[in-house]
Amino acid sequence: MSSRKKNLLKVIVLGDSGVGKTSLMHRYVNDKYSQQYKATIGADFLTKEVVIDDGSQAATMQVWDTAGQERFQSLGVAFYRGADCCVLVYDVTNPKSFDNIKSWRDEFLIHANVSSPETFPFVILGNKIDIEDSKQKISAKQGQEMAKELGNIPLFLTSAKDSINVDVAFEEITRGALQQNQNDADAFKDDFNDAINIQLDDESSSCAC
Amino acid sequence: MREGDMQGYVEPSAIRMKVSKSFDDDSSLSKNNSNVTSGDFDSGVGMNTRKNQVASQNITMNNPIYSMKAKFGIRSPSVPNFQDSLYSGNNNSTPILNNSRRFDPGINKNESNNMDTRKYWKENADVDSAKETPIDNNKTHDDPAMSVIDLYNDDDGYSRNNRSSMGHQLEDYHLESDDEEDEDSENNHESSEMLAAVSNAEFLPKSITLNRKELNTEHCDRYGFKKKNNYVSEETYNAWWEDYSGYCIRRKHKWLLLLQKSGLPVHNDIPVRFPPHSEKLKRYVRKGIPAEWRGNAWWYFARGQEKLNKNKDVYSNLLLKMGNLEDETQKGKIQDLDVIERDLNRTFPDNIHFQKEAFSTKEPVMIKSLRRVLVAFSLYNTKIGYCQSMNFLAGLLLLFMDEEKTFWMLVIITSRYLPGVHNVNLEGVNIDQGVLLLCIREYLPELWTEIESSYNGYTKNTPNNSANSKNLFLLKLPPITLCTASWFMSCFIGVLPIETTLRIWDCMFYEDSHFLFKASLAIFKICEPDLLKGKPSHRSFSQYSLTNTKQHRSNACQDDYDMQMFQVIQTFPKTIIDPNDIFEKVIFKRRLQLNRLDQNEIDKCRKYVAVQRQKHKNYDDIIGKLGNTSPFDEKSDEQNLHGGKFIDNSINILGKDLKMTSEMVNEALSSEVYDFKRGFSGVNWNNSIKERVKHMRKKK
Repeated sequence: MSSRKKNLLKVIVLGDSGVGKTSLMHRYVNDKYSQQYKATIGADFLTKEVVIDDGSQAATMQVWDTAGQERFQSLGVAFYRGADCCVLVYDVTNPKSFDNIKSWRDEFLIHANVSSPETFPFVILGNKIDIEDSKQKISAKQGQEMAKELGNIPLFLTSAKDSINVDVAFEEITRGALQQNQNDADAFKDDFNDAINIQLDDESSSCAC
Repeated sequence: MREGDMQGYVEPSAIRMKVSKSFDDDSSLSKNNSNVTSGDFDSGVGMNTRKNQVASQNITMNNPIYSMKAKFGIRSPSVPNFQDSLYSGNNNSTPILNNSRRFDPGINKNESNNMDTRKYWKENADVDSAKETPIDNNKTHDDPAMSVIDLYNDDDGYSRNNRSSMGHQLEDYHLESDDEEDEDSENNHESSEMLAAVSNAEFLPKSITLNRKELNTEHCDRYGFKKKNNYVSEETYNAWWEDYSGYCIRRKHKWLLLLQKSGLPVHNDIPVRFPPHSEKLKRYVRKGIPAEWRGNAWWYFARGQEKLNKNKDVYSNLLLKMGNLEDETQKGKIQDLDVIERDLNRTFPDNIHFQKEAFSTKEPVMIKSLRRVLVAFSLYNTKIGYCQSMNFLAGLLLLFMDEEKTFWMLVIITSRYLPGVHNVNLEGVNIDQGVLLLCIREYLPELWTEIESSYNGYTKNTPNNSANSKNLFLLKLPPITLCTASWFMSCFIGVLPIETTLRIWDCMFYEDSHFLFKASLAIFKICEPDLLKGKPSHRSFSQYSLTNTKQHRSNACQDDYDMQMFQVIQTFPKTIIDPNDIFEKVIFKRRLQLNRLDQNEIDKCRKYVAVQRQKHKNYDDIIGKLGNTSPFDEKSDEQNLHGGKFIDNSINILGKDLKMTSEMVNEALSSEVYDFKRGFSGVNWNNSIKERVKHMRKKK
């Protein structure tokens, strides 16, 4: 299959206000960090080209950064639809943001109208691990327990500031998004079955970040 | 006359030409004005020195060139809350400060500081000016600003000669401020610093930078924002500013003439009252209010004083309440406090007034003010509490007026200009987005076609497809509104570059909220070519051929295009550095249909959308297709919105008939289509005239 068709992967980043969604997104897409991000109102998006496998497949990842304040959820509902992966972010120094992960996931599933909620790819990021240990309130263990509870969601402890685990996490996100994209395509078997044919289980598959 | 004076007199001919030429260029200037201007201009040219200014003080009020020099600063707006550090002694803001300082001194701890620096400044100024000639203190405050012409006209001869005629204080000031790249000027002494303090931020002399090196003020604009950002380079900014600052000077000159004509006083360069509404004033406002007047002008046009007079002591009481909160550690009970706290440093991190000084752990005064205003507001209006984006509104206001006024302006904005927009359910945003969509459909039909087809892609496989009436987009807003929502919520702060934003704010306060819609349409209008560039050319074909794929992820072309559209909408506004791109290319073009939009239309439109959304929700509930997933649960808020009664009625009517089908819904809803008043909507009016004429004829 040498289709040059470009896939569009839609990734949505959710989480409480101030957990570092914008920073993570910029770190991944531009490999930059700034102390000077403003609060996000509504939503912003960035795109990144990802090359899959041997380079025969290209995809455009569209990362959506959302406003964290609760009341903004109702605004974002419209664009949850068609998402290929959902990234849930908490701040390891902020227990409340950790507790809210579950409700962010539920909120997403309600509005995204995904075909099979059980298999939809989520990724959880516990951000700000660069901050001194004494200020970290959520341990890795707690994080893993929650991730397991929510259905074995992959968890990464990240730092957008020091660029820790961000690329690895987004590799996983890409993988999940591609899988989802594939599943959807399979679910709607049609004349587009030549669009995507990637061995996703292949360990060597990774994005060119 | 001293030698320097002579030189000063001879040389400026070039600059005179330049400035008066720019006046002629300005299209809005009436012939009468232009004559007056150039005449007076000539007679005033010799007065370059302070000495001469003093000597000729009697004629200053009627002498535009004097005013040009003494009052035409492109200065930083007052920044009243920041006086104790960078702008100590900036007397621009003194009137404002004195105006409404009624609450307890504990609130404004910096005030004593202010007084000290001001006093210090005065003493120094007195001593120094005494050497030359007795001089009025107030005047000396204005003096540094008179150099603005030198600064903005790259006529070196003029400024150099001028310098020699000045006292050494001024000379230093000129040396520093004239040439941004003049590194030597860093080694300057205190006296110049004093003068520098009253000059504007745009060309803040290096002596201040010396004290606050880390701030690098030369990289900031006159409001303290970094010139450079991801979309505009500093070079681009400087190149544009060279032109635009000239424009600002010319506009301020016109404003002064206008105020003079209307017999309104301008004390210390700051008018407190403005002329009554008129077409002429509207034009003036649209061309921009002088930056240093904005605080007062906005306050005046938004009728802030009225509001404050009715609510005396409310703000200080709120602050007391806030203080008590801290004592009783009830903070946790108010959810908003957390979010406010997180947003304080994420409001204007690129503005020096909101940044910590280097090596200091002290919280900037601005941040403290911002916190007080936002917390006070969340206590004042519990229906709104704190909504992200209000931090931007309050933050910008704080750059132009004091805390209490900022608070009341925030109250006014969130109730009068953007009703319901910041409420917990954000229904006001949704309504305004619906209105914006209707406006696009009406005024930018080509763009609407694209938005609509993109939207259809999104909704094709939604469960209630059958109810896909003409107006469904009013309930389930297209994703594009996710971008445009922030345009309204923060009134373009962070969406457009600052000067452009401020010009829209000028008009918003003068012309009311419809201007936000007009500005949005103008932005779309300018970026329309970009938006339409990549539209999928074979849409009709591909849609036809893909009907059996349930439209799922099938239309790659459309997807790409959608993304491109988002990209343009997201980034294009950030590049509109020149406000006149919006104003001259769109807003001032009378022939453009969209300029017919007025407040009445928007009010009607808002009502209509509110009702439609409510009906859709009710239908959805009745049919049960959406079930309880509807995120809009708070009915109480509807009362607040336009046409609250109307909505209630429709609810009752709907409640009677529970056996609705989606087809019925569809039919019912599509029968109500909003009609904008057209150019030829005078049909009714004409008919009535016809009738009257008929009657009259019959009588005859």
